[in-house]
Amino acid sequence: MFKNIIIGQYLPGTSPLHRMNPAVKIVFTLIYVIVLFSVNTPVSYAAFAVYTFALILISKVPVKMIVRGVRPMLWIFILTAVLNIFMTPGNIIWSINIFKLTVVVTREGLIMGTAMVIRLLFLVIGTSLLTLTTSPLQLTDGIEVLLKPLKKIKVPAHEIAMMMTIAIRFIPTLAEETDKIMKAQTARGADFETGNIIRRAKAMTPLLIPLFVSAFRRADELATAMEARCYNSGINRTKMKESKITSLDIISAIIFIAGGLFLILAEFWIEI
Amino acid sequence: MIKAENVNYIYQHGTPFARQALYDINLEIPDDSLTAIIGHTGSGKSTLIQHFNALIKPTSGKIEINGIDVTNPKADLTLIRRTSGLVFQYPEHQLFEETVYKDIAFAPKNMGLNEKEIDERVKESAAMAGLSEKYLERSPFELSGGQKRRAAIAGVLAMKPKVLILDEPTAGLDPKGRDEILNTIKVLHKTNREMIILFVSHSMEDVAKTAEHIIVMNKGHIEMQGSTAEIFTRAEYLRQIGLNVPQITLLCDKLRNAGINLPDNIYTVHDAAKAIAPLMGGGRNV
Repeated sequence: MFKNIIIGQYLPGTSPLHRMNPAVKIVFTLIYVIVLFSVNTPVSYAAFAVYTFALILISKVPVKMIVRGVRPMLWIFILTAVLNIFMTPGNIIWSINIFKLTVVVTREGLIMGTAMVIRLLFLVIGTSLLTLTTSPLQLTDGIEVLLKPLKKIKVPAHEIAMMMTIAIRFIPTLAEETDKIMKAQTARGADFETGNIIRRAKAMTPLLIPLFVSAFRRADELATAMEARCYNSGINRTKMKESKITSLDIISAIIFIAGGLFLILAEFWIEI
Repeated sequence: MIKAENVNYIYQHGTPFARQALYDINLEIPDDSLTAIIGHTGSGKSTLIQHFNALIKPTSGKIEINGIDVTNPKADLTLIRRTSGLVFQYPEHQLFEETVYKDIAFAPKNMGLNEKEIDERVKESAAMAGLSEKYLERSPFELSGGQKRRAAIAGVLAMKPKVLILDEPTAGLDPKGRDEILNTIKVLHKTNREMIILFVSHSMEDVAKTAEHIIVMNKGHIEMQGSTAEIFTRAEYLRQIGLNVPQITLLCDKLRNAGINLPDNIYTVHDAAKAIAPLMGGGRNV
């Protein structure tokens, strides 16, 4: 039941997007989102579409996977569109009376609604591209690098990254354990599937207690094992796989920043 | 009786991750038998025994347990699970109640028995699993490794299953704990003749000491099945598939090759001692 669990949604590959430095990728994603929410002309959105589509092609991620990532957000898109269309004041282009309520659709609302949906769509696609091309371990690695400057103000960057790494590492282990305990209790006549919500919550006790016990046991064992190998987070640790800034990162940074600047400047120019 | 006919099982059937775990399994385990399934990690032993509890259903083929067709989609799963009690690997990891008593009572309670029947079953199964009554009011987390395992086995025995299946019952126990659990299994078999006992192991020593009947699995196939003596006479074949006969059997083979007259059906240290001692002029104290 939990056998094919995928953490995040990483798709292993060797495309330039996969090979980029994770820290650089995270920064790019942040900039991507900022630029996305600062532009608001159809031309810019079209440029975003072209740019995003190019990224998908370069990453070699099947479009099917991207669609699968967007699908769960569909209701949020619809809600955003509806709220924006009906709630934005402005030039009324259509109205209807339902009982005593007057529902109006404004021109501004239509534009705003469409823009918000487009922004959300690109937001989801852009961030999915990051998680699709970066393994969870690389991601935490990138986060550690980015948090490093905060060490000056006593933010435990390394510890945060280590905790994330361990947590991610143990998700499949705990999923397997859950599966096993569920089977064992089912064999003793436990029923996890029928009954109302309260009955079902109660039925979880024989699953959750052993699961917690084993999680604590594992944590304890891991801590002992780490200490036995003299793990110490305070000192500067070296890595087996050092993530370096390569020419690939520099080239993509130039293209990316140039593109972003161009878009924002173009917006200003159009507005003036 | 447990019967399997042409059973195939494929994990994640129909996905790119599909992996066949069992190939054309045919077996028959008679009532009143103590059978061991041996094989390497990944040989399909655990997958096979989960079929006997309907926790997983074969991709194709048929399985019958005491006349109930497990593969029938309309089969009564509750009845099947009460008929065959499955003790998982490291069963102590499933203990969750405040006291050992309550934990053993979990299964009979799920069966809807009344207080009196539950009480009887708890005490009876604790005794069967070799757990003394003084532990019943303790927290399961206070017990030692071997005792925890007994408590967990008692938790399954409390269903009064017709078939008892144990997955690696000695895994992770010290030699003393191992011997005790194996002994308990033997005693269970002697005192409950109508119950089929099936256990999974990868230790030839454990199997030789305990089982009467052996099923050898390798890479999802049944390689051999037969009585303990039949299986261990084929030492060369076992070695080919990466399994081994008990060390004491190997030692006796070497002694025999060196010209010492020993019978060729020695599988336990005890038997070896019995055969060797007279040759050395002793033999009374074995």
